[in-house]
Amino acid sequence: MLKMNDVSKIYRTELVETHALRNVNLEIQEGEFVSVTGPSGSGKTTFLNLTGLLESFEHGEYFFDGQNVRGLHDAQLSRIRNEKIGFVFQSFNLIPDLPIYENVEVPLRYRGMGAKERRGRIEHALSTVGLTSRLGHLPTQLSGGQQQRVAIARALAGEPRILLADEPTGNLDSVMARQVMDLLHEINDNGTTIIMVTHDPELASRAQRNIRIFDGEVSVVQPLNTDVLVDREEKQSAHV
Amino acid sequence: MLTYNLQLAWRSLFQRRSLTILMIAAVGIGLGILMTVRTMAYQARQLPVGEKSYSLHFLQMDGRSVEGDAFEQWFEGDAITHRDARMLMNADTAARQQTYLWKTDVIVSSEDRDLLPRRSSGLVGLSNFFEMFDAPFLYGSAWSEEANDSAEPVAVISKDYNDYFFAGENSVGRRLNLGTHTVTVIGVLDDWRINRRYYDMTFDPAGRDDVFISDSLAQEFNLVRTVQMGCYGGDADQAGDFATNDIQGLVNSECAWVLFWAELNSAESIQEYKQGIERHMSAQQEFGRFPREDQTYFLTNVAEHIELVGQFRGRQAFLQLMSNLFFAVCLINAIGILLAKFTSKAREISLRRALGAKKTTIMTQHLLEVAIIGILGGIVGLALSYVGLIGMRNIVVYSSDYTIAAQDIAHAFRLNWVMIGNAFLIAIGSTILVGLYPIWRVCNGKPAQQLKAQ
Repeated sequence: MLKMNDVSKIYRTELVETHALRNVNLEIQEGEFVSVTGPSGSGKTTFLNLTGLLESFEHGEYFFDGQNVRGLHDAQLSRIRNEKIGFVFQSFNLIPDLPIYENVEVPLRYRGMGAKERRGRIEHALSTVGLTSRLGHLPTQLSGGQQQRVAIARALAGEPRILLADEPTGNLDSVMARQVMDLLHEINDNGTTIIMVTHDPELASRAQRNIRIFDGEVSVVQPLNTDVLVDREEKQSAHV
Repeated sequence: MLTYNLQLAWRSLFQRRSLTILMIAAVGIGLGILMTVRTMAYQARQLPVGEKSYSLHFLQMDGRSVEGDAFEQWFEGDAITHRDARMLMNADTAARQQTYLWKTDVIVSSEDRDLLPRRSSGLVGLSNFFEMFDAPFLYGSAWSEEANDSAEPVAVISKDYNDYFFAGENSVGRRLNLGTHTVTVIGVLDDWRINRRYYDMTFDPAGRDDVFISDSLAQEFNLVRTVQMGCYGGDADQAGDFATNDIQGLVNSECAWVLFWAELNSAESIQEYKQGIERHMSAQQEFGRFPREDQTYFLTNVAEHIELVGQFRGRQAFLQLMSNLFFAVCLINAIGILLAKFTSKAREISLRRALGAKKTTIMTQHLLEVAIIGILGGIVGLALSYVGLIGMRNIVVYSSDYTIAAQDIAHAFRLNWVMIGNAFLIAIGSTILVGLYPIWRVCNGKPAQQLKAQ
């Protein structure tokens, strides 16, 4: 699904040069659920932003879905983000003035999708997260857990190939956090690749693989347990 | 996508509403003052007779003695003598038509003793004046060509006078008194709205002539001459007498006081006409007239006059400069307000970019928002300039000690569709211009930084 060869990211100011990521070599298969852990300031979020094409990088090569993204211009990157990537943020990042329906609609609008198809997708995504009855509510009228589920629905509505979650349970209590994690696993079971940044070792352990970043370097990459993927493919085939 | 962007732009106006109002107010107030002054300048430059402004030519011939500096510009020169006017009228020239005129002041009264007499500005000329200057008739017509010389006691009056003295009825054939003389009304002009009284070279935006009579009749009545007289040498001492008393002396003098017009429709006819003028001056020189070697004459059209007269000078020019500067200050303020408004939306914009909005899409959305602010600013600005123009008009009326009626100068302070279109173009164009930097800033922000967890 994605492959990084010697990818480095440096933040420069007039006085300081900060190596946020150093020579990252990594490959993530389609359908994986990968957790990213590391201490604060280690480069986890930078890694996630870079993966989601929200950050550029100085060195190396990055292949997203087989396409080398280095040198792509803004319109091409936006299109990939819109069609293939879903984002879930710690602080939900819902637009406060828009009702739930329109929040979920945002990525579909930028895809130029017709109204009928949009409605179908939005209703399906919201039913997946169990919030069909809240279409007309504003984000502030929902609890934190519900807001995060709306954010997941927004990511799902675009039917992305990969879902990037940055501390998705960071602002939630344990019950809601568990619900959100269950939801993410359900989504992954349906074939969507998930990369999740987390501080929580317990949540990280629920992923198929854990990537540990320390001081901008990927220090530990657990080997992929391909059995999990094979098992799921078999389950999906049987289901079909 | 455009519809969606338009929806977002419209909604965005209601987010941080106070900044939106401030922005619209900044554009509106600046534009209001700018358009007030611009409209006055625009109206001042309007050609009074459309395309004909290029074909109606005013003739000046310098008949002074050799003393004194030569005239270099038309506005320095005098009119022409009555003798020259008559000679040119009888000459075979390249002009489609020619006419001459002079001005008088006369007390007009009617047989109705209940109506107070009126002191009027009168125009003395020839019968073709009305056709040449596009003066429209409501009733009757001009006097005949024969009456130009026969002093037939007839007059054309303005619609205003017809309304006053004859209650708006067709007054052709009715009588009026010009001073102690009686004339018969032969024609009534319709509303003759010209933005400046260009034909008598006063360029007065408010004044109006109410009585029109022939040159021969005015001479017979010995009506007072209210034109500027260029009398030199021996004639200079008699100028006062010429103006009020000795009209035959004036007619035969070398005083330049008659305003002479020629209608010339092509470059060739202008050239040919000029040659005719030069021949006339040379021929007259042989009789001891036009003693100056340079034989200066000016043949200038109405458009040239308006170009000079319509320029803002002195207080008006200062006002124009101040209004431009004030608008610039308002726009600079608008940049700050827009920056504040757009910066407050940086997180939402970053989110939209993360979800797939291209930079160009975000840019379009904000350009639309700025354009809507420009339109709203334009509406506010137009409303303010409407009020401003009424204010300026009233100042002029007040400054004239109410000798000028507000409706007579209303045209000089009127917004028309051209100015309304101009106002919107300026409002939208300038807000987009000042919006470019804030929009560029907001489109080039780093989404990743904005979206970091708080």
